[in-house]
Amino acid sequence: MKISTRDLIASLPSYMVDLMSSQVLGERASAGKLAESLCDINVLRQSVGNLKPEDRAVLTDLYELGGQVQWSVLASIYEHEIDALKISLTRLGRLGLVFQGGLSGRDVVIMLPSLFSIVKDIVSINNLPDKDLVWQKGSKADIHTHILMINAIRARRFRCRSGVEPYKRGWDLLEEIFGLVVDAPRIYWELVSLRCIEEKNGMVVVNPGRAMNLALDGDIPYRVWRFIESCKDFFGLETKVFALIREGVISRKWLSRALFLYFKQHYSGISDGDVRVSLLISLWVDLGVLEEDTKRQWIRFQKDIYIALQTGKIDVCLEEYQEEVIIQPTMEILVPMNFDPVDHLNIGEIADLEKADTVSIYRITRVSILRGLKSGWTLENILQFLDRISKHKVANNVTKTIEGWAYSLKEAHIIKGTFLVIQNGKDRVPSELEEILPNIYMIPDKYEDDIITSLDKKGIMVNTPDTSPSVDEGIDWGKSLPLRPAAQPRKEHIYPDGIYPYGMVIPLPYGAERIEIFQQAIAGGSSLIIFYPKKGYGEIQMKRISPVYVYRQGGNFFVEAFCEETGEGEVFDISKIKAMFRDEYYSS
Amino acid sequence: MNNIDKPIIVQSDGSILLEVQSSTYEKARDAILPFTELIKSPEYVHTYRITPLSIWNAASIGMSYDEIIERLLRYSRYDLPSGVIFRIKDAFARWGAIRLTKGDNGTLVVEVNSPRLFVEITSNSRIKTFILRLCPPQRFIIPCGVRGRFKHTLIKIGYPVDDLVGYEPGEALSFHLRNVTTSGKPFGLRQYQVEAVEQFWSGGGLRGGQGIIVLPCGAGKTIVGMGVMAEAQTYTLILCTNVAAVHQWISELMDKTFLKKADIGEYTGIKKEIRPVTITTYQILTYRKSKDAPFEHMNLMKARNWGLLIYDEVHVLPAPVFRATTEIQAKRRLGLTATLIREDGLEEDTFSLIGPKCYDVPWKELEQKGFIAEALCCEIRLPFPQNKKIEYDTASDRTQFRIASENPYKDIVAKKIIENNRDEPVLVIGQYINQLKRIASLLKAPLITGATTDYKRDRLYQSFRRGDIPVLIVSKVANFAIDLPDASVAIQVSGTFGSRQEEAQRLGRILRPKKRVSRFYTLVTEQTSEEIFAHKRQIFLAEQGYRYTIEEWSCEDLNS
Repeated sequence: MKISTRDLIASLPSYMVDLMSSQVLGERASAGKLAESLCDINVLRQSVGNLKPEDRAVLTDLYELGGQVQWSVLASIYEHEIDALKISLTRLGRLGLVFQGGLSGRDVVIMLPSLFSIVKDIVSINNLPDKDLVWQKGSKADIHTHILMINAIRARRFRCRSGVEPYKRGWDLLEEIFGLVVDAPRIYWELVSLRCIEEKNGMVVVNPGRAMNLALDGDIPYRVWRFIESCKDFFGLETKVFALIREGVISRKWLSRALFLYFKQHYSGISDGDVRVSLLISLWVDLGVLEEDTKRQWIRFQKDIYIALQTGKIDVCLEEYQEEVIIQPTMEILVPMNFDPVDHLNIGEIADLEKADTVSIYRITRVSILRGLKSGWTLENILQFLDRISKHKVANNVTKTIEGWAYSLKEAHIIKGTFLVIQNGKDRVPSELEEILPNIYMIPDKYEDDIITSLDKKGIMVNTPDTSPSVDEGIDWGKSLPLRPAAQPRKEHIYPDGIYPYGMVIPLPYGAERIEIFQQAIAGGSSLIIFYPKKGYGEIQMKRISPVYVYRQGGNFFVEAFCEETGEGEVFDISKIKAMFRDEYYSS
Repeated sequence: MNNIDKPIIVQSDGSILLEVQSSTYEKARDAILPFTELIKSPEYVHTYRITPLSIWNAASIGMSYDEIIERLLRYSRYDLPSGVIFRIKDAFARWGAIRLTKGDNGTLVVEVNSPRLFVEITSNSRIKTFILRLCPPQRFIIPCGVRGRFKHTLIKIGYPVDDLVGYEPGEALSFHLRNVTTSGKPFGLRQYQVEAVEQFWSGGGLRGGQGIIVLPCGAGKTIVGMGVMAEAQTYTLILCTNVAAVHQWISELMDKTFLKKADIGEYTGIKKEIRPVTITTYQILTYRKSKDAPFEHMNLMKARNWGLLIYDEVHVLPAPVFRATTEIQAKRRLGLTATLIREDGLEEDTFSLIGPKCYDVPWKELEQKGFIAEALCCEIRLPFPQNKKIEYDTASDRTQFRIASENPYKDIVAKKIIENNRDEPVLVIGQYINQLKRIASLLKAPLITGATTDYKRDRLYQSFRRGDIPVLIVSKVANFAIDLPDASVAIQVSGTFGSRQEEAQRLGRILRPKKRVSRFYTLVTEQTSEEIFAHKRQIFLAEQGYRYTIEEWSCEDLNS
């Protein structure tokens, strides 16, 4: 939850307002006036304009991290330059631009909320692309290989374990067809995820409905699906990417930084965030989800993908597919890479895939033709289809051979139907029903309900067969579009120790070093400003003390000191002292 | 040229698809032919393949790696697969890595191009047996006599040898081609024949003088052989597939060269003449009395100081002749064939022992230019007589094929085809003697089988050539190297299952150039196993680029 500048200043302990207003405005002022001053865009713009580049970079990081970030996250982001970070934050804290929500030194770091619009402008300026950008027309992920694999599975049946994991022979068959160039296992498992292939009686089989839907949907849903799949291990990553780029252009550098910050903020366990980000961006570019310019410095969403992510609408006709194949007199069909996926899928029903390659080679065989006829094709359909997709006139020997094979098909039929089996009470069976075997009657199509009603009236309880639920044949692309930002859990930030400009206070070290601070002050005769909880309430109060004596009692160290606020000697439990005021602030 | 207009597609397995109807087809084909092997050339898209052998063939004629890649890039529609580039590079790296040169005192010097390869080669157990002396870091010495076996062993482990030892010149022979044949016709080598001779001979240098010329049947391989003999001017041994082919060579030599009859020897079962040009058969060379006895006539290969050996139909070269060839690597060797495909898969042996392919031209191209006859292939499917159906259904697989092949309706169809081609010389070719006898009796035509004497065969062939006999019925003895220039119709009534080689050879019988279109009919009994084998042969012919049509004849058609 973002905090407003006024709320932030209101959270400052009252004694800090004086100090800070003196620091920022050059005079003591009320919290309201201080807040007003810190909301003055012109003043802030000037302050930011005068910042060193590294300080501005810290501000843009804080902006990208949402304005507030746990110290541990920030420390892990600047893992190798932590000292430089602290110096930058201290400089920003002195200007009242960055705060810390506590005294431990490991508390939430907060950017001045009124800086948001200014830092946003900086980010926008940094992402202002060159005018003459030339966009690369790179490779795009498509479903061509998926259609090939579906067709390969149709032609070469093989067995699988549970989970549709093929045995070695299955993998060997796929390798034989696809070679080592295509990542056959990835394609295979994607088809399993999309449920286009499944296990049936220990065999890998194609789900025709889903396979057809895959082909009908085309390449864009697949690219979107791959994009979302690549993000699925990181909650909200896809929406983050979408929010970062939208319809605009973003520098590759900034996209990488923003996603790196995202990983550091949400997945602290990931140590190689920068590598992952780089790989993911490259993947999205390879998929055709993102486009990059020829210099590989700028990135944008591919237009159709953006529309799909933004509106959820996918125009399947956007791709230009080739509509012709070459049918050789040798019964081979040569299918180019960008062939229409629906027709390509249909080829697999009547021809066997022999080799998947730049141009894939199918062969029309007796077995493939019989497979086609079994799956509902007619000879006429096959010949018409081949004639339509063929670049040249289909050779006489091809059509005649197919005809010969089709005519050689000997047909047998398995009749599906509903049958009534009754042992006693044959006299109550409607006379219209035909007894095809003793005690077995065939129920004509669509009359099942009528017969059940009739028998029910005659006092016969009819046990109907279990009907399996109808299977949704549509392909499941998973996450629905359009993308909507994931609802962030509301998080109340409570700062019991108060909010302080970053670097104004320093936490006390632990152990002997802490004691030493007081002993040095005693030796030097100097005074210290400490942050000490009030008795009973826990409220932090600031006290200027001159230490006199350090002693130990009951295992705890105490300091006896002269307190300038009360003008009396007081004893402080050193372990309860939260922090000290920084020397330079004190002197100023 | 837009990428989409480019005619070739390089596949990741090294095969190249070449679209024939592209405007740049011919240029692209000529560009890739030197470093690829033509696998098939059906009507629309031809398939070539890049293999280590094809790359070495290209390297042997001086083509560079960069040139190959540039040619592929120039005509390739898509990016070249990285694996293919790697394989070409690797094959190139192997070519020339091992050179064979002449040493002192009857030895040969093997030079390898790196110490690493020296270690790899010299530590190979099979190579070790050849080594006389090691001269590290990159040389070793082998005896002269193992030249062939050494090359053969190296190619088996993936290294071709750049053989620069040279050749023994052989005894000199004055050999000149005539401008006008003895039969009075003008004669000269055609352009592609001249190119083939030049490619092989290579100016008489060390790089030439060994290799294979691939030309389709009827394209004049014999003429090319004579062209090479005219370059070599030396004693020559010619090895053929059968006696008829021997006689054909003799007749061609007499007709087209100035050789005298006394210069030409026939070394066959009938005659044992050894003369400056001797023609023999593989059969006689590999003849032996028993399985363990020595080959009695193999010494013919060393009987004279031959300067050139010509292997006709090199794709059927038998293994013992291969072995003998390993011993005569110092002789120039020319292989002639219509196809490099060997049913036994010994293409590598042909490469290492005879030599690399040095000339190749697709059948279809010569047909288009009129150098060989245009051929139409037609499969006629015919039914079974009712009484044969039961016999067929109850027979074993092998017998079923024979029953289908000997379908008596084929006799009627063959007769009808002959009637429809009344003015054409017709060959009827078959596998089963009984069937052929039956057809011969029906057609009242002479029959040539393995049992026919060579004398009678020659007489019948000559009568057929003269047109005295309009129909000749032949068994598989006529598959090879019989020149029957006027046959324009062939009817194949039965064949050896799906043999591609047989199909090519049988079709080759009618490909000698002529004005009319040649027709090749195959008779097949429908809905039988013969149809399945016929389909394989159909695919082969379609792969070669012949238009193949199928006709179905019903019982009514047969009776009409």
